[in-house]
Amino acid sequence: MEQTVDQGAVPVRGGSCGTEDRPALADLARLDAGELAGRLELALAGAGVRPVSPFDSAI
Amino acid sequence: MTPPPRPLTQVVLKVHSRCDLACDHCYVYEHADTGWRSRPRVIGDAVLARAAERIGEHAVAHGLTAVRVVLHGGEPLLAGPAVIRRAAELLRAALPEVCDLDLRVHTNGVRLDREYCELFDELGIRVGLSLDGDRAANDRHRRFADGRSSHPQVLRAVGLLREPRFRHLYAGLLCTVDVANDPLAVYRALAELEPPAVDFLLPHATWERPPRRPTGAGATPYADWLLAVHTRWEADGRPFAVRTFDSVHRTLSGLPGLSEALGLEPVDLVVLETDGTYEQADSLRTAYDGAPATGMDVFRHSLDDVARHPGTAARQSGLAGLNATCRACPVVRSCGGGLYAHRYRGGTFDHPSVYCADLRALIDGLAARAGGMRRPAPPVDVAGPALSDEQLDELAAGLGGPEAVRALARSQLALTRAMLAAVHGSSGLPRSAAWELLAELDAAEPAAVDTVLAHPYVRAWAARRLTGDPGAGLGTLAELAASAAVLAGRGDAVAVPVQDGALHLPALGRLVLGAGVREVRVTGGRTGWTAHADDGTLTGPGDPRWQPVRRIGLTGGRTLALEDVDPQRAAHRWPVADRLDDAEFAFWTRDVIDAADLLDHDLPEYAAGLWAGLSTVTPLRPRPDRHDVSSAARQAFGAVGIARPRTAPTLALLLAHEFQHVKLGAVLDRWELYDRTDTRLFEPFNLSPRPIGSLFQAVYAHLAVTAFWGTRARTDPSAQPRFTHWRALTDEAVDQLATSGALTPLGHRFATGARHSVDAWLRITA
Repeated sequence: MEQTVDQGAVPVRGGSCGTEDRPALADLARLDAGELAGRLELALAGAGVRPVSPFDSAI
Repeated sequence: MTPPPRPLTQVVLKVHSRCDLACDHCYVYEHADTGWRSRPRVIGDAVLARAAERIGEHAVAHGLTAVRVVLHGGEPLLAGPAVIRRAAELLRAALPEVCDLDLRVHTNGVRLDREYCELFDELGIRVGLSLDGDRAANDRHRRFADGRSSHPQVLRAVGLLREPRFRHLYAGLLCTVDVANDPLAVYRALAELEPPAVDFLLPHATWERPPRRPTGAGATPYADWLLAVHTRWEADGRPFAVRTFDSVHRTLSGLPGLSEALGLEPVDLVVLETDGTYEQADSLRTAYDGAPATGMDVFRHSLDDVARHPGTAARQSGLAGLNATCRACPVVRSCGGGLYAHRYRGGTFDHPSVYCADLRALIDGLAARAGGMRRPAPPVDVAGPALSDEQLDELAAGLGGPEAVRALARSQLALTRAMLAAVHGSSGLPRSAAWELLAELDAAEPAAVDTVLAHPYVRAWAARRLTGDPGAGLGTLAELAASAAVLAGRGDAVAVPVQDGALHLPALGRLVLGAGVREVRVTGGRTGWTAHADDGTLTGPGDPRWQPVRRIGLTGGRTLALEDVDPQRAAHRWPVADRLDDAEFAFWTRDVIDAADLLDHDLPEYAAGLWAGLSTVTPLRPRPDRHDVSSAARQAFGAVGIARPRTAPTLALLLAHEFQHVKLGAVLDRWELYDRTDTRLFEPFNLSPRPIGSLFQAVYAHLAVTAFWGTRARTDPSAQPRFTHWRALTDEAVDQLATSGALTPLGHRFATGARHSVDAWLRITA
């Protein structure tokens, strides 16, 4: 997995002007999406749609 | 005591065991397993009824909120409409009220006609179709027994599903890859049919029966084929979801995969045959005769029994269940060892997939195209600034003043922003002009971006996307950037894909364009915005086809949006109303103004917080029996859905009731109030049995209901019976909650707050 990790930033126009209470979208987007989603687990638990659809022969 | 097994939430229900096609790549009839020969052709009523009972008891036992059932075969439409209707009715009757049934049918399309579409519309059954591409590709395998092509019939079936009347039933297309087919011709043929989603299936194979690899096609022909499709799909702006690609993009960025064929997520699927026997997975038919069998059936065994079956457990064991080669592989989290059946060799599944080289090349190829995607997240609180103790106490009592509710709203905005970042981070897009504009505006014009992201249905879309809903396309990201550009008014422009014939600008409105326009370039200027469509037309907000979100003005400069255009408003668990005509909008305006006055006058302690957080009312379709219907969606803070009731006081009551759910949902997004693994059921307010979370919500909402009737009873004797009724039920439900044994310390604080509020009403009338 490590070989797909890029420690560099995703290039975005403009710069970051986030604060501790309001991290900039550009900064948030550099974070690991899986870890972000993990921290959102309480908020996503009520989404109603399960995250995995392991069905190999239909949509 | 044996711990409960992981629940099974997806059931493939075989309603017919034969097929009217004779596809030579079919795993049911052409591979190792021959179980189909001895099974009844059509599922019998006794099996159907028992199967529904088993699914219902499993949903109750595990507190499931959603179950997916796919009617399958053979060819399920051979079972006839009566069997399909019976299956739908039995399943709905067997599931508890709090559990959604996601019912689908997967068909070859040959028999899909208008009557079936009418039936599926009535029963809420979505349709997936098998199609391998253009005629040449489809004819390679998907023929009738006499050799005739099935292609014309399938196109006719897709044509029906594309009609506006039935479009909502169109779930997607399943395409089995054959590397002898031209990948671009297959892609174009599928794209022309405008599917919401496509899944590419590798033909089932094992090490003992390896897939065809044409001479001269290289070492990884299946990866090469899929990457060729991916190139075109990206160049076209991803016009539909492709589960194979989306799944890899997600797993590369740390999210769960979307398919049993890719990723490490445990399977939660069971197959139910026409004779009532349980099987593990259809794909196992390719391994050896009898491979999918469990030896269990609906008459003697529960779904928990099946969930404990060693074969099921083996497919739920993630990384630990893989062989050493796979465990050491750097892409194992994306690949997951491939489909279980494809690992078979010499009597075991303890091998890498027979497609190992292809899967590695595909994943590496998609990772390289996506660029760097993973970076550890610093310890920021994605839920935003915390609430004070005083604010939590206000909320615990069922109330919450403006500051407390604004604090919840700020927290919600922070969550939405984090979700949006996770959506972008898992998209697999190396660059996105829409995202870059949104990020730039976020820095330069934060008020414009916050206004758009505070729109309730932005989070609803992001949550759908993150939980793998193929209907939540990335085009919405461009819509958000366009809305922000319009509000910022700096002259920024962004290309926005047209969805269902309209340009959608979340929080602002929609421009109805009709068929033929696929993309619009939106420019947000100082003096208004313009929309350049790809058919050459130039338009803007003066266009009569522009349908803005209308706002209802209330006293004190307050406004409330009446949202009847955003497609994401379907987040409510009830059908939404179409765009209101002027007369209906006038009725809503009158009733909302009257309801607001009533809330301000009669229920000020609730109204103050409500007006600080309620931004949007979404009209719902009325119930056929005209009973009131209203909804709060957990993923749409600030919005409530309501079918316009007969009177303004009823509207006021529904607003107060639903906003209680909105507040509590926002609290639950940050803190645990109860043990979410508790599967016991409660029956508060004479409602059907429901889990602890629903009990909590019911108590919280009825604190406002009790206050509403208690206040009215002071001046209106006719309200007294309803007051005493709801007060008594709320009193009882608060006790149920407090003594449930499932509350966290904060949950107890809320139960205590509710008790104080109810006691105040008990004392007043005493």
